[in-house]
Amino acid sequence: MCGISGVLRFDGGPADPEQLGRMIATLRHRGPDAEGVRISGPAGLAHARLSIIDLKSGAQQISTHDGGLWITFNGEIFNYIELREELLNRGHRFVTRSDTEVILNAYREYGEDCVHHFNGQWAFAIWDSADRKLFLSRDRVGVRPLFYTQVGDCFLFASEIKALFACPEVSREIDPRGMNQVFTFWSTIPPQTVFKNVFQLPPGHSLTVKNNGVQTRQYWSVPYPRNGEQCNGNEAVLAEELLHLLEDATRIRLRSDVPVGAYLSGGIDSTVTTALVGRTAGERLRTFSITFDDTEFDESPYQREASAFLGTQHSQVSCSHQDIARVFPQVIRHTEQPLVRTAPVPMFLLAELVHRSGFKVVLTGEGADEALGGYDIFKEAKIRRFWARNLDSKWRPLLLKRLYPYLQDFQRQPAAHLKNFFRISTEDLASPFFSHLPRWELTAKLKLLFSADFSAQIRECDAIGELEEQLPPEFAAWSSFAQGEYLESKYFLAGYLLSSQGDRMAMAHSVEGRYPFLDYRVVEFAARLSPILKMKVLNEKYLLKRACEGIVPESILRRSKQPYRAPDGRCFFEANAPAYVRELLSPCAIKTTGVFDPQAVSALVSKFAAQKAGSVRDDMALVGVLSTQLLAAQFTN
Amino acid sequence: MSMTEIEQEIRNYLVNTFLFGRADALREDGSLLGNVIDSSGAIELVIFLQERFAITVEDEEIAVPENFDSVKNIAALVARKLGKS
Repeated sequence: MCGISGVLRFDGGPADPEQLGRMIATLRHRGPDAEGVRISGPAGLAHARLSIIDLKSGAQQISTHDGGLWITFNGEIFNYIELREELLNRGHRFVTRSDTEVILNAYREYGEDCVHHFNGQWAFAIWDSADRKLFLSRDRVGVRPLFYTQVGDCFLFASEIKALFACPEVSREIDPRGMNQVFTFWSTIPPQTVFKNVFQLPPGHSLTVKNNGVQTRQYWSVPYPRNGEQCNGNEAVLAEELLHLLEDATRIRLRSDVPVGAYLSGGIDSTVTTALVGRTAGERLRTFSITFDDTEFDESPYQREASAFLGTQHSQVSCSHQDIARVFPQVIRHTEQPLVRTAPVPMFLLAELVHRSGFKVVLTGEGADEALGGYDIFKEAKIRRFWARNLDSKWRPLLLKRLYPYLQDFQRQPAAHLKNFFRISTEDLASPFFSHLPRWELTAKLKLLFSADFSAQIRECDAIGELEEQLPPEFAAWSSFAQGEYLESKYFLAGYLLSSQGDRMAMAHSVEGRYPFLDYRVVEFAARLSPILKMKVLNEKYLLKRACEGIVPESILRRSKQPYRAPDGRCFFEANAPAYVRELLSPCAIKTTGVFDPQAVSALVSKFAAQKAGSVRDDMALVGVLSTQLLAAQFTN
Repeated sequence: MSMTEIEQEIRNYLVNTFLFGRADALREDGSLLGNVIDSSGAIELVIFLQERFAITVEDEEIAVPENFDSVKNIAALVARKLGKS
């Protein structure tokens, strides 16, 4: 795991090593073990290395033996051992034992289609000096980040935006279109970012820069079948197949020359991952978890139970309200986009614990909810569709009470009112975004806080319309369940969970996350399954639970789903709250940034100060404003 | 308290609680439920009405969405409770 950056000059002049040095210096947290810059004519590649595989000879940047190809690489190709063997049989030579050199030789053998042969998580750039071509690629689901921009005669890329901003010629302006998307979907829609003229390579895409032109190409997407053509075979057989796939996905993710640990949240997914690591590794595993002083969010009893059941050596770090307020500025420095919830903050503290414990690699359960039907948003959509078949039913809406048992305010709502909130009109039922409209509309309400000037700048922006333009033609033929999964995986998982909560928080402390549930073989297998096997009536992740009977504690398999959450707005208004909170939320600071209306923010702040705020809406608003202010202060002002 | 004053009180509450002070976002012709009052807001509104106007809203009245779907309807409910209609 590493940080990468690079440049290609269109005018043919030599790349500037000092510029590359400045860029890579901003990414040392991603790769503190070594650093290097390589210039090859107009191209320059830089690399900050976190040594995990081939500690002795894997130092980057690596070139082919003839010096024709150079690479800078962030990530892992987990099937590199098999690929290396295959490439050796085809006559390729290797000087190292690293997966980096496997990428280069695979590129020589298969060209840009080499990515189809990789099972891993990557962002890399190859400079093909003979063809005068720069080739960039990002993994299928978007585990590793890759940003780029073009200024003047230069194409620049990097693992994080801050490396691009190390070049003074790159402007640092907030892009209203990106903000409009964040305040709808919680993240931008790639290639958009929240900064003007800074783009991200979408997951499952490659990009080539040649003859001064930039071209992106999608090489993979989740292969959902047409509705009615899903796999609905023997449950026992499918459960066994799923378990075998997960075992193999875990096995190859243990390939490392440094010790591998695991996150253990107390939920099913990370318990499954940990159990599979234990079965494969055969030695006592180190596990890590976050606990909360605030009992509303704490899952430590389940964590202890899972650890005892699996026999792991467990460490935990406690997260208080004060901790959240204290490290929030650092968190935003790494997310590089505003947040509407504080959930990434504890992940930042957890990665710090892993780093302090001497570990560089952890396996986590991320991805199971998206692929195997775990989220409440899928359950909610299923109930809404069920209700819509008999709109006058008094009983069907009561099923909605089965949702969100942990949200007390929601539970107190009269069932008769929920019809309007959950958008089950004929028009909404026909929408491709039926599953996600309630969430998006709730988030979009926060835009009422935007200043008049900023609102005017987004008047022509239509976030949902922009997303609709990206939908693949086959989307309409998928089941409604698959449509919801697609939206959740493509945008929320990649844009928020794997970035703001995943890569960016772990890499802030030089920790690499690995995700067995995001092995593309698991994702493709899950995509083919009938929705009934994923959510049986309202039993989420049904097939996964069946597959994992006996290998995880029964109480964890049977517990009701509790999504990972963290305390929000009130953290910033306790006694001894850090000074930056008041400063950045002051009318003067709000006016200077220009995104929000000072009066509206003052009213919100007063509400929190008087301890009268408490709704999800107020929490999201406060976190959204404060994170935007921090982003602007750290990157643009 | 006149009907106009009751309506204004309700309007102020909705704007400050659900619309971050943006009075222009409260459209008189649109449905409040779902558009202004979000999925956890109906009970908040009932608590406000009970505290502000010293009335008791019965469960069967809460269960009728129409009572809360416009400023006029909410004000009418309050007025009935206050014996003004």
